[in-house]
Amino acid sequence: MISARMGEPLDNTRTTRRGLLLLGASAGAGLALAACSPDPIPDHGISAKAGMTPIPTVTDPVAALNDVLDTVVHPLAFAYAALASVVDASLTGLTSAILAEHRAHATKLVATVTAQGGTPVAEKSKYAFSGTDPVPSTSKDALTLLQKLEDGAVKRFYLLAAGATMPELVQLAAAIMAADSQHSAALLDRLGQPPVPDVFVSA
Amino acid sequence: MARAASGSISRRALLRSAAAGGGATIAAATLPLGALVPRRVLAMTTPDVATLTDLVTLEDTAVYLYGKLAAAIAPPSAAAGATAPPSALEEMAGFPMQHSFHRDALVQALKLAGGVVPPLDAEHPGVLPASTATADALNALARLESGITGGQYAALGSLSKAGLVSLVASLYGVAARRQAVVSRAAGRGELQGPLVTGDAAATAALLAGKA
Repeated sequence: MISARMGEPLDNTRTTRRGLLLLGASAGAGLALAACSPDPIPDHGISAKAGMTPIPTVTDPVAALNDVLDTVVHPLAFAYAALASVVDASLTGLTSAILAEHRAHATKLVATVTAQGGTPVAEKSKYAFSGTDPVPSTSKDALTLLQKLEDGAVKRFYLLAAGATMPELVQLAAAIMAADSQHSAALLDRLGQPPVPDVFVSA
Repeated sequence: MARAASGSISRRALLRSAAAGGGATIAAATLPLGALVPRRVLAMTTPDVATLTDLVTLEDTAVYLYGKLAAAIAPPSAAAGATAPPSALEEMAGFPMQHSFHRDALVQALKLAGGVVPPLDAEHPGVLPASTATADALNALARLESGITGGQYAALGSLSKAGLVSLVASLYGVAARRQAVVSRAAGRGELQGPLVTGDAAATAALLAGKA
């Protein structure tokens, strides 16, 4: 990461709060980088959002990939399938396309785990809609839930990309994060909300 | 596994991007690396610095192009009779500022990495579309956004410092959202597929100062 103190050399350490501030790993990227810069850039009013949570280095890629499979990708696909009948007919083309992409993510991640010499976590027959009670029964509520799940997925894949040390894994996680970002943007648009609400992805 | 050291947003990285994204074989494949970045940048310093310099140039190009095409995509006028959803055009009004923020963040990273900041707010006339009709403007901006995601994706595969990866990944998720909005406004699909990798050919063209 970029050094925690001005004048120190760059290295790959990435666990301190101040380091994150300097890195711009979170919402305050630009401002954070300016914190120790000899030539500060504009604050943009986002310093208060700067990340405080260290981004852990991915030391066990197989475990990390299985974790996102089990807690993000499979549950997302399940949610889209389970809520398909609730979503307004005019939007089923979009949600079906997104579901197909999540299934493609699962396929890619399973293949990657296998290629790494690991055993992919098995897909369960059912997943809980975390934090949702009752389960959405209207199209708007369903889209709202799906959009929140997408944003959660974006953060998880951001953490994976930022914490990975293998370039191939960085790019895979980033490519999936970007796809989930586009899902979120599309759903926000259909909900009448700004599709690009933030300037930086944060942890 | 250590990150591979490679030059700037290198020809190799762009080729790998194109392969990973399943995109068409790109023009960059036939270009020498020197055609993608100025010689002085190549000779200057570390691969990370060269990569960051390219990313700054891409964002600076975006600031320029959105500025030049602002009237063509202004929601009240462009929405009338245009196919682009008014909501998309309204959202795009904030994109120049986003690009400016991202450029600032990358400039600071470049400075801290010991690089020389390329000219900012520079003229990039070669990236302008043939006309400023709304459709041409939206197509040009869609290509711009896909070129920026392509550049950032390639960079993510070559940057050697974890902090720089974090920064670019943070920008990348936002760039993908912009790409979706602009692509839809241009009448294309808003989803770019399960693995979003950008358009490496557009990246190469933008870095060469071409549309």
